[in-house]
Parts: sequence; C-alpha cells; structure tokens
Amino acid sequence: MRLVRTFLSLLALVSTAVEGRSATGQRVLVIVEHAINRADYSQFWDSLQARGFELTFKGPKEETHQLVEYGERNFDHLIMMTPSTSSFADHLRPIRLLPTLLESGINTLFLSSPSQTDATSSLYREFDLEFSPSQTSLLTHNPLPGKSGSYVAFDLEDGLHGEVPLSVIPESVRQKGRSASSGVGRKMVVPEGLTHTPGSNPFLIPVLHAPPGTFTGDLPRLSSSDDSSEEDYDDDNERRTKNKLQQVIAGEEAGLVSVFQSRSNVRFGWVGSVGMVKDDVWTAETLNPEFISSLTSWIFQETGVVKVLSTEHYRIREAANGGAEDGTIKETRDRFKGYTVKEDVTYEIALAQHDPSSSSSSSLNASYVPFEIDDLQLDFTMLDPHIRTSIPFAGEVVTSSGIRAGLYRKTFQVPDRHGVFKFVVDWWRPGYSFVHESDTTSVVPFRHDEYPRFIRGAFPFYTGAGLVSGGFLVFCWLWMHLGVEGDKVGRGNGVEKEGKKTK
Amino acid sequence: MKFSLSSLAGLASLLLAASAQASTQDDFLAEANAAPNGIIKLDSASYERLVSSSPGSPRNYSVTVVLTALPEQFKCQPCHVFDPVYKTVGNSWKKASREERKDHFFGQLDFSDGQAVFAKLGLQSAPNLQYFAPKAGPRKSDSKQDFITYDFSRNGFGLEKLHNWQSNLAPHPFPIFTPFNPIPYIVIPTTIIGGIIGLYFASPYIVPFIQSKAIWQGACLVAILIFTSGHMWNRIRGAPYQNRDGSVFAQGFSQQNVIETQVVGGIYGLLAFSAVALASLAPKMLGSYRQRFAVYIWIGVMIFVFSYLVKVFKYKNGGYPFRLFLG
Amino acid sequence: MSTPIPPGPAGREVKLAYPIPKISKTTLINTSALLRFTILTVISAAAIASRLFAVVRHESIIHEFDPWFNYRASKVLVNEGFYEFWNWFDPTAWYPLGRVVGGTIYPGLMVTSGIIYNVLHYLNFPVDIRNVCVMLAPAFAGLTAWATYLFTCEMADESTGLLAAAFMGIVPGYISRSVAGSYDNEAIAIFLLMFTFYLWIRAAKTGSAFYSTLSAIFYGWMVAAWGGYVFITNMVPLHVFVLVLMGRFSNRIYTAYSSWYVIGTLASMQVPFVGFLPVRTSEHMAALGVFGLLQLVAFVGIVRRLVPDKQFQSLLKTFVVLAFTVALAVLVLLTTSGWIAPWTGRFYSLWDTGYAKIHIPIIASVSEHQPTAWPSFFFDLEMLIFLFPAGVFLCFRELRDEHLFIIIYAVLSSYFAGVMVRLMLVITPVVCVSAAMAFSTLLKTYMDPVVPSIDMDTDRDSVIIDEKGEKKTPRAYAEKVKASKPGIYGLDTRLAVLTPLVCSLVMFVYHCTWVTSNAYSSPSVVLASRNADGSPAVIDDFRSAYKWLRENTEEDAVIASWWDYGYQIAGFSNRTTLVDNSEYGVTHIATVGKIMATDEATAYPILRKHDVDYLLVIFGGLIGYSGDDINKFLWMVRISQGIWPDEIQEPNYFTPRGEYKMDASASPTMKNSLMYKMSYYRFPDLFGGGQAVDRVRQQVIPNTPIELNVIEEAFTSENWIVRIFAVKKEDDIGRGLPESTAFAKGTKLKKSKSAKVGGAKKKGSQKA
Repeated sequence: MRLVRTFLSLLALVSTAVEGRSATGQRVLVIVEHAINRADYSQFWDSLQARGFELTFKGPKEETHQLVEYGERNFDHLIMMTPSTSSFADHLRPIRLLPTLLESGINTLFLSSPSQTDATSSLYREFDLEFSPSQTSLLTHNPLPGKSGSYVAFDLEDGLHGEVPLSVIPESVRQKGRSASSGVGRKMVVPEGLTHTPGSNPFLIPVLHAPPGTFTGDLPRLSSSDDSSEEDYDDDNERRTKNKLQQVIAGEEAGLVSVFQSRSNVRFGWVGSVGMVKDDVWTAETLNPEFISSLTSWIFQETGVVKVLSTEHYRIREAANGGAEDGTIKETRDRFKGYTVKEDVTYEIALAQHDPSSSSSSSLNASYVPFEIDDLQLDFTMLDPHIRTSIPFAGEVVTSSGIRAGLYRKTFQVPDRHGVFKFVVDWWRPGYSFVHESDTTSVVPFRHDEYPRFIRGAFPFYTGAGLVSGGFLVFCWLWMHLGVEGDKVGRGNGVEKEGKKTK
Repeated sequence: MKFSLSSLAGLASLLLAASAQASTQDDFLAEANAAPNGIIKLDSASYERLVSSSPGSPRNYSVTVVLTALPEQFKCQPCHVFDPVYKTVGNSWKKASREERKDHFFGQLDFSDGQAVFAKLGLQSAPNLQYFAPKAGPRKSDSKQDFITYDFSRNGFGLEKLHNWQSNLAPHPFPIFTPFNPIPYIVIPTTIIGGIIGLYFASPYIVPFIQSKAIWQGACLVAILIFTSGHMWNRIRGAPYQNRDGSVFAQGFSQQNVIETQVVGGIYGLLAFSAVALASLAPKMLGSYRQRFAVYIWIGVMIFVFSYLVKVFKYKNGGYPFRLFLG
Repeated sequence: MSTPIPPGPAGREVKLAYPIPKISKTTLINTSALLRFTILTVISAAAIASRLFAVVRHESIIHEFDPWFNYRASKVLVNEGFYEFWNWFDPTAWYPLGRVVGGTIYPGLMVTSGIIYNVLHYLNFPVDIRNVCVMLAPAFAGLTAWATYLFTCEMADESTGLLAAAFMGIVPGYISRSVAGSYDNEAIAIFLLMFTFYLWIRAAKTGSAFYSTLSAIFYGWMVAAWGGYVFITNMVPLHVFVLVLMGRFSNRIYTAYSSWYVIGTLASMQVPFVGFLPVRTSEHMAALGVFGLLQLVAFVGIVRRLVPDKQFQSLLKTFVVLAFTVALAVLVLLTTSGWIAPWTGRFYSLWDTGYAKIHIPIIASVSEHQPTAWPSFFFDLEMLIFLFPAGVFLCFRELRDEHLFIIIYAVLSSYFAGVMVRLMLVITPVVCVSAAMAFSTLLKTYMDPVVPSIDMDTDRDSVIIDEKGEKKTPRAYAEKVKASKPGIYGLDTRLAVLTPLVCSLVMFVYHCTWVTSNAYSSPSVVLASRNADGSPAVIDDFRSAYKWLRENTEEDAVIASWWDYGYQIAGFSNRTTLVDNSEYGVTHIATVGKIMATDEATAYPILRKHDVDYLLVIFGGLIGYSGDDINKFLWMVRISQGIWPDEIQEPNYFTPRGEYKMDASASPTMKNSLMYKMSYYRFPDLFGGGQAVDRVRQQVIPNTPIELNVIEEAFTSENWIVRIFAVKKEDDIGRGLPESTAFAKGTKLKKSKSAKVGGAKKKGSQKA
C-alpha cells in the first residue's frame, strides 16, 4: 500500500518534471481497440493529463468524434493504440487518415504490438518503415527470471540510436538511463516489442533500436496459447507456418521506436510495443515513464518547436520628412516595385522557440523564448542562388504580438542582374521544426535618371557634337557675310525654284 | 592467397579489355591516316566494331558516321551534294595532331556495303549523319540514346553548320581546312577587270538601253505582276507545277501551283492592259468607228476576264458569295 | 467631279457629246471645294464605320494577342505616368527573369493613346482608356484616308485623290489590321507612313526645309510606333538616289533630303529601343550613304560653275559612280569588321527567304512571317490588284519626280508583300493610289463631254484620191489632226465603259464589306460558330478560362503556357507568365517547349525550379478548333531541340513511318509528353466507350486512361479548348509523387521504399 503511495508521489514528481503545454493544442484523441483494456494503462493517461492534455477515448469503429469537421480540427493530437485492428471507422481508415493528419497537422503516436495487422503495416510503409511480420517480436537470449524471452529490459544507451537529437530525448533522461550498470540507473523495458527497420527517408529519425543480445523472432506462444481452444490452435499453427521468419534482424536494423517530422512539421511517432506504456512497466524502477514522456512531448509539439515570427527586407533611404533619428527610413519593396541593382538590402528574420515549461501563463504567445543558433543561412535566389550567405544573430526583439524572439539580420548588395528574386531561409535540423521562409521581391535596372549624367567615355561624342554645331554656325556666318560667290549661289537657287514652280 | 589470385585475374581481364579497346582504336587510327580525307570507309562489320562499346571496355573515343548511298543506281541526289561537304570536314580534322585524332574518327558507310546496318536502324532514307559520344574518358556522355543524329531538315547540307556542329562535338574545336585553290584568285579579278573594260567599250550601246524608259517600264510592270501573282510563295514553299491530274488550280485558299500563278499573272496583265488601252490608247484613235470598235472590244475583254478571275477565286475560296457573269 | 468646259482651240465652240449646264467658274470652284470636303468627311466616316463590326457584335474588346500587351502598357502609362512607363520593369512577364519593358518596345502607340486619353480628360470627357485603345485604330483609319487624299493630290488631281481616299478607307488589306480593338502598332503606323510620304513629296517638290522637317518629325513618330519604319528609311533615300542617277538632282532635293535625314535620324535615335541602330545596322546604311552622296553631288554642283557644262555631266556621273562604289566598299568593310551589325533576323527573312526557316524557328513559327499566296492578294485588294499595274503604267507616261516615288514604292512593296503576309499592309496604300490614278483616268476620259473636233471616219475632207489613185491625207487636214486633242466620240461608248466601271465600284464595296465582316472582325479571344440549326453561337472558352484564372488562383501564381497566350493571360487574368509573345528569351521559350515535350519525371524539376503553379494548354480536338497547341507542338519541339539537341529530337515525335499522329500508332515519346497527356487526359471518357475522335486531326485516340502524377486537372473550359492543370507540390512525407497518387488511389505498398525488409514473409500472407 505504501509502495503504491510512494509510487504515486513519484509519478506526480515525474509528471511535474515533464509538465508543459503543446505549441499546437492540448486536445488528444485516443483510439483504443477492444482487445486492449484501457485501465491497464492508467498511469500513462494520468501522466498525459497531468501535462495538461485533454484525452478523449474512442474505439476504432466509432464514427463519432471526427478528427476534422468543416476544415476545423476537433483534436490536435492522436494516439492510435490499435495494432490488431483491421477495420476502422471511415475517418480512421488509412487512406482517409493519412491525408487528414498531414493537411490539418495532427500529431500522432502509433503503438504497435506483435498482433499488428497488414493493413496497419502497409500504412506505416508510406513512411518508409518496414515492420516485422505479425506474431514476431523482439526476443532476448537471456530473459529475466520469470519473464518470457519477449520481455526485454536493457540500458537506454545500448538501444539509443546514434544521432537522436537532444530535443527528442533530453540529456536528463539519458542521465537517468546511464550508470545503470552501477545499479542506480533504470532500464528500458520492452515487452513483446514488434520491431521495424527504418528506411532512408530524410524525415525519419530512428530513436530506439534493439539492444545487443536481442533479435527478432517468432513470438513464443506459451503465455497466451494456454487457454486457446482447438480450432484456434490450428489457426495459430497455420499462422505460425505462414509467418515463418526468413531472416533474423537485430541491432540497429531492428528499430523499436522511431519518430517522423513531415515537410510541414507534422510529427509522428511509433512505439514498437504497447506494453512499454502499460502500468506494470510504468514504474519508478523502469526508465519508460521518462522516455515515453519526453518522446510524446516531442511528438505533441512541446519540445523542439521553432517558429518564424516575422521576416522583413528593406533598404535604407533618406527620409523626405522625419523618419528615424538619423533622418533615414526603412523602405520595403515588393515584387512590383523592386530594389535597384547593386543596392544594399537588409533582410531580417525573427525566430522563437516554444518553451513548454512556461505553462503558467494562459496565452500561447508568452510561451516562446528567443531562439539562438549560429548556422542560419540566407539565399538570394533567382532560378539559382545568386548570393548565399550566413545570417548572424543580432539580439532579441519583442514582436508586435508581444513575443520575445531572436532576430537575425544581414545586409548585402543585390547582384547586378534584374529579375524576380527570392529571399530564402532554409534551416533543417532533425529534432527541430523545419524553418523554410521565402519572400519574393524583384530587382529592377536603373531608372532613366539614375545613370551618371556625364561619363568620361562619352567625351568624344560631346566634343563631336560641340564642334559640329559650332562649325555649322561658322559656316552659316561665312555663307552670309562672305563674298559674291555665296550670293550668286543663293540667287541661282531662287531662279531654279521659280523655274520648277512655273513648270 | 586466393584473394590475391582472384584480384590478379580481375586485373588481367581489365587489362585485356583496355588493350583490346586500344588496339581497335589504333587500327582505326591507322585506317584514318591511310584514307583520303581521313574518312574511314566502313562496312557493316567494321561499323559495329567502330561504334561498339561494352561496359567492360567502354568506347573512349567519339565517332561521326555518315550513312550514305553514293553509287549511281540509288540515285541519291542529296548524298552526292553532301559528300564533298563531309569530306572537307573530315579533311579539316585530319589536320589535328595525331594524339587528338585518336579521340575522334570520321566514318562513311555506304548502303551497298552496309544494308545490315541500315536495316537494323530502320533507315529508309540517306544520307544520315550520326555522332557517337565517347562512353569513357573526360568527354564521356551519359545520355541514354547512344548516338545523336544530325538534322538535315533543319540544318541543310551547308558546310558552316555542319562544321559548327562537328567542331563543338569534337575533342576540341578545329578550323575548316580548304586546300589552297588558285583559280578564284586569278579568275575573279580578271572577270571584274574584263567586265569593266567591256562595259566601257560597250557603253555606247548599253547606255541608251539602260536609259530607255520603255525597258524600265516593262521591267517594273513585269516584276509587279510576278510578285503580286504569288511567285515568292512558290519559291519559298516550293509549290508543285500543277496538280497530279494536270489541272491548273490547286484546291484551298492558301495553296497554289506554279502554273496557276502564271495564269493569274497573265489575267492581271490582260486586265491591266485593257484598262490602259481604254484609258490612253482608245482616245488617241481619231476615227469614231474604229474607236468605238476598240472600246467595245476592250471593255468586253475586261468584263469577261474579270468575271473569270472572280470565278477562279470563288473556286479557291468556297465561302465567297459574289460572282460575275461566269459560273 | 464635274469638269469645267474647256474653251476650244482658237475660241471656236467645241462639240459636246451631251449638254452640260452653264455654271460660272467661281460657283464651280466653290461647289467642287465644298463637295471635296463633304466627300472626304463621308469617306472618313465610312472608314470608321466599316471597322466597328466586332464592337457591334461582341463588345468593346481588345483583339488578338499583342494588343493585349499594348493595352496593359497603355494602362500603366495613363495610371502611373510617363516616367513610370518609361522605366517599367514588368516582374510578371518572363518569370523569373522579368522584362524591362521601357527599353524593349516601340512606345509610340501607347504614348499616342495616352495623349488622346489625357486630352479628352482635360476636355472633361471621362473616357475609359480601354475604349480609347479600342477605337484608336478606326480613328486613325479615318486620318489615313485623309493622308492618302493629300498624297494622291500630289501625284494627280483632287478627284483622283478622293477616289484613292475612298479605296484606302474600305480596302480589306488595311482593315485587316485596323478594325476596332486590334490595338497594334500598325493601327497608327500606316497613317504615319502615308503622311510622312506626303510631306516628303511636298518637300521634294517645293524644296522647302519646313515640309522636310515636318516629314522628319512624322518619321520620328513612325519610328517610335512601328518596326516597319525601316521601309521609309530605305524608301526615301532610294527615291533620291534614283533621281540623282536620272540626273534630276536639284537644290530642292538637296535641301529636302539633307534636312529630312539629319532631323529624322536624330528623332529616331531618341527612341530607346532604336538607340544607335541608325548608325550601326545595315538597314539604315542606305540612308547614310545617300546623304553622303548628296553632299558630293552638291559639291559637284559648285564645281559646275567653274567647269563648262559638257564636262560637267561626265564629271557628275563619275562622281556618282565613284561615291557609290566607295560607300558600298566602306559599308562592306564595316559590316565584316563587325562595326555595323548585319541584317537582323526579321529583315533577313525578307531577303534570303530560306533563312528564317532554317536559322530562327521562332520567326518561322509565327504565321505573320509566312509568304503570301495569290488568293490573299485578291482577297485583300480585289479589283485594285489589276488596276495597280495600270496605274504604274500611267505614272511612267508622265514621269515626274513624285511618280518615280510611286513606281519605286510599287515595285519594292510588291516584293515585300509577296514574301510576308503581314507586309500586305505596306503595299495597300500604293495599290490604292495607283489604282485610283488608273480608275480616275478612265472615268475622266469617258466623262469628258468634249468630242474631238475631227473624225477621220466621217470627215469628207479627210481623204482625197490623188492622180496616182492613192488615198492620202491632204496637208491641210493633217494640220487639223495635229491641232485636235484626243477624246471620245460616241455617247454609247461612254456609257458602255462607264456603266461597268460603276458596277465594279459597287461590287468592290460589297466585297470589302463582306471580307471585313467575315474575315477580319473576330476578336480571336471569342470564336464565332454556328449551332446545329445554323443559328450563330459564340464560343467563349478563352474568356471563361482567363476569368477562372483571375478569380481562383493566388495573386502571384505562375502560369506556364505556350508563348502565344502569355499576353492574354497577363492582360485578362493579371497573372505571372513564364513566356509571352515578345520574342525576348529563346532559352526561356525553349524551356517551356521542353516542359511540354518531355515526360512528367523530366518536366517536374523544371516546373518546380520555375515555381510554376499552373499549366495551360489549348486543345481543339473536341470541337475542331485547329489553332490548338498540338498543331503548334512541333514548333515547341524544334525550338527546344535548338537548345537541348541531345535531350529532345524531333524525329522521336513521329511514328516510325514518319507521320505526325496522335492515335494508337503515336510514338511513345509523343504519348509520354506532357502536351499529349494534358490534351487527351480524360478525353476518351467523353465518348463513353465509343471511338474517341480528335476532330482536328481526325484520328481515333486510344482510350487507355492517361495517368497524371505530378499535375492534376484544375479547370477545363466548356468546349475543352482551354485546359488548366495545377502542378503538385512535393509530397509531404517524402514519397515520390507517383507513390502518393497510388496511395490516394488505395493501392497498398507491398514493401517500403528503402527500408530493408526485416523478416520478409512468404507471398501467402500478403493480402492486398
């Protein structure tokens, strides 16, 4: 009894530790299939609720509670605890589900189990994840006493993938996981984990893989097939023959947990075993609570969320009246009235990172903190980048919406080439929201009055013009005032003209 | 030990391939040197050998081959037109250094020697000019189709364009080499001078000719009639002389035959002359009867011919609603 | 056109074929003046009225393609002022290169309409700029009639002038490019052409610097308005040159030409698009050469006073020849050494007729650069075409300086008109003038009531039999014959000639009206057709499609279409286009050609790189609109082949038997090309299993469904003429677009793209 209490307190502690608010919303739809008893996972639900999520539980076949209605999403996140379900309600059928999730940005956590159906697997294949056939599971050579071989416990660092960003699994969790050998740390526990091999999809981040000494193999049927009836047994039998493994995978190939962030920053996560969030392993002895919590907090847009608050590009001009104290104003030019070639242009972009800890204030705005990095890059591109430069951090600003953000500013000279250009900032780092900003402007040639008035090269022309006109005047003067010849000629013309006229 | 052996074997095979490649290349180089204009005469077999390229031994030189049909019995006019041009280009390449020439060959495959190739490529017409980019080396191209065809329909048989095209594809641009030909240098000046002298002496006879109004008048009128009856269209579009069934007028508003334009030109001329006759000849007649006669004749001609013209035009342009006395 | 009674020789009363009322000379002059004025006004009115078919039928709408750009430019001019127009950089054209409009167009047209617009507004006529643009051409046509009148008056007399004006007013050859709504450079150019010529003739006749200056100024306007100004630039010097060769050099010519050339050249160089061309290109060298020649000749003229006349002639000739050869040599030298640019493509295609076809597919692809078959001559000029040589003949009869001009003009323009349909416009004025000369000579001859004083067929004393029994005319009679002036005798002959002439005039009017209303009055954005029951119907696909674009796409959407439709898309729907009708960047046009000509996989990167949001194709296969993109497709292929010869080859688009086909036998390259796919996407479905017949090419389209992966159909107009396709973005979760479309169609993946299959199952358990 006491144990329970202490455990509860611990749980409370844990939950406060990871307490936070999602950047996109708190409403979570949980689809739990009938085969799974919701109550067995109460701790998991509690931890989520403790973090401020409002959970709604539904069965896979219930048509009510659409994810999206009239283009408005009813839920911000989704937990699919439906490994063995093969037929879904219409709006949850993979072919409908995937577009819905992507279009309306619903983050999803998929939980699998060895009884996973092919329909589900083929949905996951769209994400370039290949799940092992059903009725297989991660097995270990030396099971814990009293546990079957499919109950795998290991140190986090043995299974943690090499390049998992800290934003997904923070240092604190790793810390807890580490020094497990010395007995202090806690182990990850994966009962009946269905493994998958992550593909080379750039959006995919493998998180956890099978530890050493484990491999994927047929699920031993001792526990569950005791009470199986006769025909059921045959069925098992033939399924067994059907799903015979052709090859065993282990180590990094055998992924247990992977996450995925789409081009439009929608996040997905796969946990290879429903068992990992079950109450019996959600204990202070295991690392699962911390691990899963940090995982979900990434998937549900609490951590690693970066957003662009504003971009601006302008040139400095002398203000006609007033302007800034130094008599200049910022002049922004759109794609119709562009910048002039070879002119200095400044581009600014403000980035902020979502801070889950500041859940105290109700407004989402206040939950952002300036985001500072040193590898942000700016392209000034028309078809191809004409200018590619790093754009340095230039201090903090408070945007009009009252958000504190990190400002990045770069001033450069636009190339001597007119056309429609784009300022492109592209920052892709795993574990963070992808930053892709593109502003269009145009670069126009000089106006007729912007060229230098007198140029050296043209002096031959100036002199030439001057000489000719001068010479012409002189000639006229000579013609009129000089000599009888001119007179004669003049009269000659006159006479001739008369002659023609009369003709 | 085993490993080293296998690797040795691999090495050897590679060497073999390379050497084989090199040997063919040298053979062809020798042939090219031997051949006049440096154009290798090919038959089906040697053609295949020249352009062959396997992943094992990729062709590291480029080839230009003309598939032509020179013998008389094929009556291939363009082949004969193109032949000297091609020879000139081949010859110009021959002036390049031996090392560079290893990298590009000019070949010529006549239909009489290479029906097989023609059949394989499904060519109905000659000449065809193909360029095979090298499959290895610095200039290697990784385009899917293994050769580029020179588009005669667009470029014609001109030397400049061919040389242009070729010297862009060759290992390095090379100038057109034309063997020195003294004839023009003698002929042209002599003709010019002779002409001038001739003109000078003939001037008493020519000058009045040039100055005569009648000549100019005639020339101008003829020119106008020719142009307005659509002669330039014939020149540019190469109109047929007449329809297959021998009839004069082509069907369709924007189609015409040569003879058709001649007829129309004649009609215009006749009408114009009748107008002139009525305007300036008839009044000069100082007898009421003959004048009356002439006037009736010419106005008759005018009306008749004009209505015929309208008829013809109606035939050309179906929707034309008007007609004169005829049809 | 009544002629005053001439007093007979030696005051004797003359014989008249028919009585004419006695009217005093002054009244006669006054009435004729009044008549001239009224007739001229009526002619102008007719000229304007006959150009309003399109406006009456549809609406006051801009026609064709180029006019749409001119209209846009004019809007910029009147809305944002002259300097903004002058420096106008259009970022929505040639995306993303943009187009510097100010320096790349002939601004004359826009400036003209801009001035008219502002004047009208100053006078408190709140006219919409569109209506100014639409009505500009007819208005100037009226002026052209007037200019023609003046020009012809210089050649012959007023009555001829009136006739010429009447011809010019309604002749289809000119109407073809000046109906209401065809707001193109030619609309004002022809007026400027005629007026410049008129002023030039005046100048050459009187030798007044005033007139030549005026003509130079109008020449400047012409330069600002139309590229065809080069015709004047060579026409006038040629006239002078011929005059000099004929020994007709005079100080009048000298004054006229010198001032014309100097002022005209300076004026022309003020147009940014022309700039230094007048001193750098060979088209302008003739003018310069003749200018120099005149100086030499004038110099000779001064020498003349020092040497006796006999030598002078020879001296002059030698000088002319010498100067000519020297000038030619210098010209050749400069051209070869590259100081003077050689002939530009357009004009080259005038001389070397084979040139354009081979070298410049873009020019060859434009229908306006095609040669002229004889029917279109007759179509545009009807009876004038054969009166034209007669008129030239009459010009030869009395060979005054201005007649030479007509002759040269006639010969040159008939050549040009023969080479290029578009230049039919240039020949039309001279045809009208000289035809009018012939016609009015006929009329005057046969209207003249005066009967010759003698008649050799009836006069007794015309023939006497002398002693040898031979007929011979007595000397006395011969004298009379000499004295008598030629004329027509019988009244019947007069009528016999006049009636057909008048009838032919009537027929001419009918012809012109018919041609105008049927051929030249359709604003190609609205197609007229007939329903099954023959009632007229309007096919309005273009406008509806452009409207759709304007209302359903983002402001900055980029639309890729073949260049013919660039201006209309910009003008109608105000969207950014990749290429348009200004032959500006061959590479860019070739890029669009490549997009259309290659398969989806190749085209997609190009589409994305150019930020293309929509593709627009014109497809006439359903209702048989022959001017659609598939018929232009080969040009796209050729043009892009010019840039990427190893990626795109024309032969690949033909069947093995070398036919250009769309049916089952079409080559795979053709079937995979975006153009083919976009045109025939869902086309067979319309026929519900029946044979899908393309009504333009009369071919059966195979009804194997066409798969589109990287684009999706966005809009198809009522008659399928305009089809618009939206370009898809990259897949959100990094799949290839074909895969994502497959998923949307419901096919499940059997294995993931790149993931290594962990424990692959036997086939048995794979349920699709």
